[in-house]
Amino acid sequence: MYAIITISIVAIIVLFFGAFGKKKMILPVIFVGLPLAFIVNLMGWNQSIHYFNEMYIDDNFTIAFNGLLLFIALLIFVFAPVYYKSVKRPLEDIYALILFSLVGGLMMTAFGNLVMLFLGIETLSLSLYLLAGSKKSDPRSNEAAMKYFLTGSFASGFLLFGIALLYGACGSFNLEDIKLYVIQNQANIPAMFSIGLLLMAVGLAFKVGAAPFHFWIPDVYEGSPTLITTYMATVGKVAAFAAFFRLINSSFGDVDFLWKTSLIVFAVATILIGNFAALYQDSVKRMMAYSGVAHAGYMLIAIIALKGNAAGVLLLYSVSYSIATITAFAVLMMVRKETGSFSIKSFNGLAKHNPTVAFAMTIAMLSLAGIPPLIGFSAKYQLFVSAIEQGQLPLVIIAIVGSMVSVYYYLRPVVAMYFTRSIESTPFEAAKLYKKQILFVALLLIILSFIPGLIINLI
Amino acid sequence: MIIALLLILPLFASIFLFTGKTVQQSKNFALLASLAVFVISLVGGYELIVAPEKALFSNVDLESILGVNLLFKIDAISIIFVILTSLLVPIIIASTDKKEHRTPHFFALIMLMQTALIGVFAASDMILFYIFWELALIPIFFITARWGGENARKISIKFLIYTVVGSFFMLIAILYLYTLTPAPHSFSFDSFYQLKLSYSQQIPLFLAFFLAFAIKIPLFPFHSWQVETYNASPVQGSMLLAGIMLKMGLYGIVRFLLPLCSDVVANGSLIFLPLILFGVIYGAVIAISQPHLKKLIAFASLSHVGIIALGLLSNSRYGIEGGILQMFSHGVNVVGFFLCYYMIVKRTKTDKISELGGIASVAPRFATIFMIIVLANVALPLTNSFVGEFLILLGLFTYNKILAIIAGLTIILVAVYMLKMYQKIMFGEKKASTENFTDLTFSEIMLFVPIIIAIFAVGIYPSFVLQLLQSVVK
Repeated sequence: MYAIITISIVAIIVLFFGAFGKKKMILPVIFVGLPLAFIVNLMGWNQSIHYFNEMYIDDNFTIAFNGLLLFIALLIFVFAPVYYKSVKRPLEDIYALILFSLVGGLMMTAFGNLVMLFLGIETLSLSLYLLAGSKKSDPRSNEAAMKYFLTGSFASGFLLFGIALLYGACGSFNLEDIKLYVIQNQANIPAMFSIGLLLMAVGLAFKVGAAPFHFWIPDVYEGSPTLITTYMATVGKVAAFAAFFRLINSSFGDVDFLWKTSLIVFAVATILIGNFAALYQDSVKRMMAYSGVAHAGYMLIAIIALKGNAAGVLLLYSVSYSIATITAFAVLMMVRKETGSFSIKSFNGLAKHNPTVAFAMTIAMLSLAGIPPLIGFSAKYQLFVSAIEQGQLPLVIIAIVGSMVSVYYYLRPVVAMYFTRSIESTPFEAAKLYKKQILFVALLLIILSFIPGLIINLI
Repeated sequence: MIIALLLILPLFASIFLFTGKTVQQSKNFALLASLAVFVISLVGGYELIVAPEKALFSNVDLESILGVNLLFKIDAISIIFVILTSLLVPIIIASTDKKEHRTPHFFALIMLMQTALIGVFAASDMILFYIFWELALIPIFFITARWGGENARKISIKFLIYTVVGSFFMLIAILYLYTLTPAPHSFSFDSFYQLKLSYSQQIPLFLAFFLAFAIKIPLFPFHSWQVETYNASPVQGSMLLAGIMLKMGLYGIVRFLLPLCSDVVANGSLIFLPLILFGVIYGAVIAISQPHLKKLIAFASLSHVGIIALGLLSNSRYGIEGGILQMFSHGVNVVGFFLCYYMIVKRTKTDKISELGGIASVAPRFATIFMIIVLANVALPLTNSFVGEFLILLGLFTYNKILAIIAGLTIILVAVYMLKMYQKIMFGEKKASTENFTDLTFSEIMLFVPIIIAIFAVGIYPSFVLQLLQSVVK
């Protein structure tokens, strides 16, 4: 709760500094504010406090995921000064929007009430619509914002309609009350309830980018400024998954017959479509967008395997996916800055003059592909184990087939970097700016590879 | 303690070498580290010979941190392969020539490979096994792609995808086995061995494991990556692949297929043994007409490992013992063979058999050593292969006489292509490329010494290995 307040205050301060033209103060405020929020967030550990009539629940699940969101946001801000280096204006609007959307994300993990869920999602999404179009001179960025806004608000409509129907059936927005209703009426669930749940699932599937509601992802991810894409692909996705998990886990665990089949269909479609579509991409940014779709499919499995330690598995998977994605996008930012293109060809020969960056990209790609001993493998394997314990062997087999396919496209940038000669032989200028930060996230990824057990047993 | 040293030493050496600057220092350091590992593995081997019933054991319960249980166990079967690995890696490192422009990373990757290989043979937890199994791929992929010959890039990707697909099948099998273990579920080998699997459970398990191992070994018809990869890889990479990495697949058969799917192996052998046997003959026949020496070695290796797989799956005690022994021998022999190839290519810059000839007259020391290695490959009595192949054929004979007779044909075929090759390369007229062939230097001979010792030691006195095995093969 206090983390939300902290971040909101930081965002407002950033706006003020921008208004008074004090550009130099903005980033220091953020770099103090985010760690502060992180610490404030941790203070509620093991206390499970409820705020505002159970609108907001500060349990360990919330704190773990909010900690992750704050940490990811901090990592992304690390890249902000280098990414926006050539921009002269203070950029307070962009930074403040990122922080406000982060507030939305923090609410989504903690809701105890469907109204709060909707509020969180809208706070996150509205800021993201604007951020997607923040590169005003670029038509693709405008296109991305437009597409994202139209499809996103459509999905919000679904979500809202679902919430309304659920309210009609149960007479409450509160997750606990809905759970009580479910337990009492398990035998005869009214159609209104099931339809409401399905509509909510559709709305959330859209937000996480699960097939068949993934069509916005490639275009929006590709068109948005890369820093914002990174933010969407990590904070946006993790927050939406935490919300999805909390919704299903706290209210609908007992009526899994209502949602399980459709989620399995979503997961299978997402894994297959994401992985196979990624095979045919020439732009690495678009490939990463489809890889994000595929990973959404894997994370859906954590929701399907609800019982057991699925929350820990989801957390581990979110950590592994986010850090690796940030690393990959950071390298992409650097390559783009130097070559002006996202295509796989612009990676040619990178290893020769920028070995550190190439190493980081390799680690990120191998982790995303799930090659041991990196954290991506631990996450996948824990996920598969928890799914298989719930008797989802066919689903796991499909997921593993998806992983096999993914090895191919994740290796393409690696191969281009190490084994294809580039035309130019001078080191990238941009590498000097990005090198330290990229190395930092890559090392973080390696360190995390040794402690998946700690992460999974956290909640 | 021994296990920890065996794993940590090469790993740290590898990390250290990644920061290395000069090539010669890196090579010396890697050689020193790998020799230390060899000594440690011999100590482990000695402990097991003294008390063969026991096994070296190491269990560090870090599940709450690492997410995997660090459970290692080296028994009599494992130690053979650990020793094989630690024997061959120093030879492979030492064989690297100064002129080849290797960077320190090359040696770092080899040491990383050694860590992974020892991990595979020492692991006693299925997930740990899988992690090392996959980890071993990464260094060999980079070695082949970075330092390989023509088309190495394309071929190494094909190789990587081929084997990753295979190991994903193994992952499915592992997860399936995990669900069958009684709650709380476990990934340790012991808990798998205690399972009483029904026939219908064994069939999918067998298929998944067999596919993974057959791709790795490789067995016909999954061999298409092998010849290309050997050919494209630098010779050190080929040695790692043929000498040690293939043994991972065979080791997998011994560890999992035989104890877990014993009924399927017993009943179904007649379905897949002929297929493997076809691969054996196929490899040998193609080897006869190979114009390139390296490809000849690759096809010969395909044929030899097929025979080993036949022995292991023949469902008889002799076959299994012989197979395990032969795995060790094949590793030694094929590395020796590749070394001879390397010596020739280094001097003549060609591996076309038709362009070679008359080497024996100018290089008598090389001729002798090459002869010993060729004869070991032919499985002449007193060499290591003889014992293994004899036991394999004996085991096969008790299982099915027709198969054994056809398999026996390969002994003739091996002799044909090996001796024909030797005759063409070493005798006859000197060609332009062999005009200035110099004999082996002292340091080159030193490379062959451990191989020749291993050939004769196992060939003359195989019983100390077999005694070790008898306690484990049941």
